[in-house]
Amino acid sequence: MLARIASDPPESGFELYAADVYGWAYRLLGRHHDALDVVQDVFVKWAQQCARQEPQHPRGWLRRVTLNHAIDKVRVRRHGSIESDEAIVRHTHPAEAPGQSMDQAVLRADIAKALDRLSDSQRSVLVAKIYDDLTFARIAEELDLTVSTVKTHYLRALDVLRAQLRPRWDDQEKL
Amino acid sequence: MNCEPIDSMMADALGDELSPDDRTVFEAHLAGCDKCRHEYETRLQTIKALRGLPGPRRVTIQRRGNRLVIQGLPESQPGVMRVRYRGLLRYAAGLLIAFTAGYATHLGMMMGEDGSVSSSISYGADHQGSEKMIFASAQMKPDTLQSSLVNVHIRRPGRSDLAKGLIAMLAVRR
Repeated sequence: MLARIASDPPESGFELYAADVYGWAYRLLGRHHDALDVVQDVFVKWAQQCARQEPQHPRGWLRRVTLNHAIDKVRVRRHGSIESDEAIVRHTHPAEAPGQSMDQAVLRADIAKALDRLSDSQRSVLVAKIYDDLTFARIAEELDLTVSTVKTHYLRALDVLRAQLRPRWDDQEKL
Repeated sequence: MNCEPIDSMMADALGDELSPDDRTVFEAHLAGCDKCRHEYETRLQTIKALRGLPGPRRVTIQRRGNRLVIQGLPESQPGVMRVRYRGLLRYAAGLLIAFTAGYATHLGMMMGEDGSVSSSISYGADHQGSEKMIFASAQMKPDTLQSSLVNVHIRRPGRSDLAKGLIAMLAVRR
């Protein structure tokens, strides 16, 4: 599979982080091609940023920008019909039971809605902790925050996600 | 019950960064405090939901010139764009073939002196009053031609042409 990129990003950044960027985007979007679009967009931004000044913490910068782009893509997708999302999910997950795929797609949409309500830092902390399994100290260093601020962001982000997902759990309990 | 020390431990407990001694104190408090236990368990449920989403496949992405090369994806994984348009193209092609065949079966076929049946496809229209005549014929070899003769129909093309075209296609294939 080949995709075209608009400009040549600095070798070190791309070779080191492209797979991570793809992973963060895929977590939010659940679709291979959408994740690749985000990879492309993010590394164009990366090239522009490096032309000015390379970020002090590249991974933290890339995570933040990736999440922003992925959230934007979800916003755009949200304007489409639910039926089209169902059909697309069915086609991109042919090995899975349709019901299960749709449930995951709806869960992703709920998660994306909740993440949209968070600040950049809160979102980055949550993803870094949950998916990258970094310590609070490491996250604080990457994002240039204090450890106590990182912990506060983490709890706040979890509370927003919890509020978004609670109706699903209540419905499941009723069943 | 004083929940303040537990609040400060909550993030570490959820992030799996509590020391063993602090973990003992934390769990002892939860055993006796419904409010803190509920907060902890529902946040933990949230973390499990997030981690439960399928992650990306292990891929490597390399830059070659101005292209990205992705390795690690299964060959059979369909792209969303290809799946979206493949069905539409097949449907459109099928419709076109069926309509064409439908018109062909409504055309006069002439038997040649040597027994061959031949005709040629051409379209033309000639208005006669309120009716529109459509002339067409098909060039086909005898062994592929349907044996029945049909009359030229003077009428507008419609869905029945599609149905008849589909039937004709099936008959010719046999």
